[in-house]
Amino acid sequence: MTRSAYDGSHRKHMVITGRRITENQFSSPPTLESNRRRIGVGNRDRLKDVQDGSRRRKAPNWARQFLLAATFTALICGPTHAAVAQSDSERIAELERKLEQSQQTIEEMAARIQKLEMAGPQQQQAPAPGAQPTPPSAVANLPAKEAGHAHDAQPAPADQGIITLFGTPLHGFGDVGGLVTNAKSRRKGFTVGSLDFYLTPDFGANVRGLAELNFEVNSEGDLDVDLERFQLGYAFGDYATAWLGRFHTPFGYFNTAFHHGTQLQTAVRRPQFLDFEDKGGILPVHTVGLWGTGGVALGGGKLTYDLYVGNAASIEDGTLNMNMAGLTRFRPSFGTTVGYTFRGALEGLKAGLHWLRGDVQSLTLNNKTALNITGGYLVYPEEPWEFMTELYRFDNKDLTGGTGTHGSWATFGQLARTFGRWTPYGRAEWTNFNQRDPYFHDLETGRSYVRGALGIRYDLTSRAALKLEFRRTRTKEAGSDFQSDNAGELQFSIRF
Amino acid sequence: MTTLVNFSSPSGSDGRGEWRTAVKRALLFALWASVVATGRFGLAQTPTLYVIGGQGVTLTGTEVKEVYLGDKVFSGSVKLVPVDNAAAREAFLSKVMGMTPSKYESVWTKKAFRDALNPPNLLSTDAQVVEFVKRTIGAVGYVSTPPSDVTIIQKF
Repeated sequence: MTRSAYDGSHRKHMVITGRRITENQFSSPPTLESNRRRIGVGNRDRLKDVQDGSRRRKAPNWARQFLLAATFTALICGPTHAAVAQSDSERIAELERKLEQSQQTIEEMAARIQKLEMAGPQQQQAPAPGAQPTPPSAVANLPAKEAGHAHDAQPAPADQGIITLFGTPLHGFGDVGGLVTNAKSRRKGFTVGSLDFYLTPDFGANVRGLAELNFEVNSEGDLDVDLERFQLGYAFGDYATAWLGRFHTPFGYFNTAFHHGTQLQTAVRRPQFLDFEDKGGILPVHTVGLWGTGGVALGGGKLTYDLYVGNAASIEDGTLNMNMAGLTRFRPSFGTTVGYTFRGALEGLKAGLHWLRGDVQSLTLNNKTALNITGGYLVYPEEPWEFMTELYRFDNKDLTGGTGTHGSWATFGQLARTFGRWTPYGRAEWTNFNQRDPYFHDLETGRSYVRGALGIRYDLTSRAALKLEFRRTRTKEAGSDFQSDNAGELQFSIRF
Repeated sequence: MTTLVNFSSPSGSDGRGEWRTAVKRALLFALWASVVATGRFGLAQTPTLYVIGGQGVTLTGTEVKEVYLGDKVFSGSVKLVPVDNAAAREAFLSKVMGMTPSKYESVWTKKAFRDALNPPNLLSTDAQVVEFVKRTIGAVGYVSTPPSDVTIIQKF
């Protein structure tokens, strides 16, 4: 019963199916009709064949169902696929780790090679007895594995484009430009200013140095090479550092703040009376000797001091000579500056007093003058404003001629305001040099003068500036005559 | 097609309801936009910075700025070795030093020229800074993630 029912239903199904196939897919209805007849006579073998053939023809439906099932399975078995994906990501992560390790090894090797190529060892301090951590230099000069830190990274200079010499960054300044003036004694046209290089090597925790070499074209068009500074120092702490060598004489503010750093100073030129000795300056802006400097916190600000002693200057051919090689008979010059840097509401403001004393020998006049300078400064060099003023009082005593003590004055004031990249500025200089003073009388540029300058500075980048300046100078000649000249100067200055 | 806000002359109780809905939607949208903008464009407050010190470093919070300006070079008899962290440098300069990277570079140029001091060297990541500070006498650094096994001088 069951069997016949089954057979019947099956048969019925096959008939329907066969009809559907016939109608939809096959183009030979007689064949199916004959099949139906054969089924009708109960030929089971034939029925089986037809059944198989029908199943084969149903393949597209099964495929569709299979795809559906597969999709469904895929959805159900999502976690399995995710696991595979996860294993892939783990593999990638592992590869990334290995790549990172390789990269680190390469970097370490490169650093090691660089260290080996360097002629001199890096500076740094000696380890404290029994201390666990090692000083940076000790680590820097060892391969990471030797130092016990396979993954240690060495600090690099913040500026990756910097030039290094013996492992020390090489810095410098340079300027070129052009000058137009109605002063007959001055050259006009395009000019090369100076190219200045300096190094600041460390030789350990407390020992450091500074070497500055300057190439400049003099007023005759010849190239001068000057060892501007060469000083070696020992730092006892923030409160005291002792320097020995040739340094910028620490009086006032401008002399030590800018000097050959033309790109650092807002204006094109230094105040004339503060110019370099070989460029008409009337002050010993360099000293060869011993210099102590430091600072201590005081009243919310910082009190700074400078004490120095060095070779006294000489005057040769109307120019100050700092006697870098010493003197036949030692004559000292010495001085001090005490300054205060404000904090809080007056942040940036600096004020100070200075004093300098030295016996200056004039080789031309064969006389000796006791140079005695006192003065002070007040500066506010914080953007957007820049204000600075300095005052110098001379009470020079004629030690040879016995003409007594002669008083003279020199001062300047400068004001600037930055608007984005533009900084317009103005400066006024005033001097009154007593011509009875052998010191000023013998100096080629020891004439009183008054100068006013207006200019504008445009910062092309943080390291390059264009400056345009117009100035008018009135110089007191012999008697009471004044000679005036105007000048316009363009300067393109850089630092590196 | 549905519109987010219907501005067509609402009237009566239905109109008031529409306005209320519109206002609610606008407020929700503004809230969502502010959240997205905060996350996407970094308008969130700058990350917390931890100034850390190595062996021998005793500094107060106010002295940190002096160290990174080269005004303070020693902590007692130990020479300080400040390092910059490229990963957190901008935030540090802005938050602690109150200056731009360009100004910071300019300050150090003057410092090098006038006082023969070199600017802090640069490390790339928090991990490198922590490691350097741990193994270097007098080292000072800053990181943006809470460090472990190292002295935190100040949190900014």
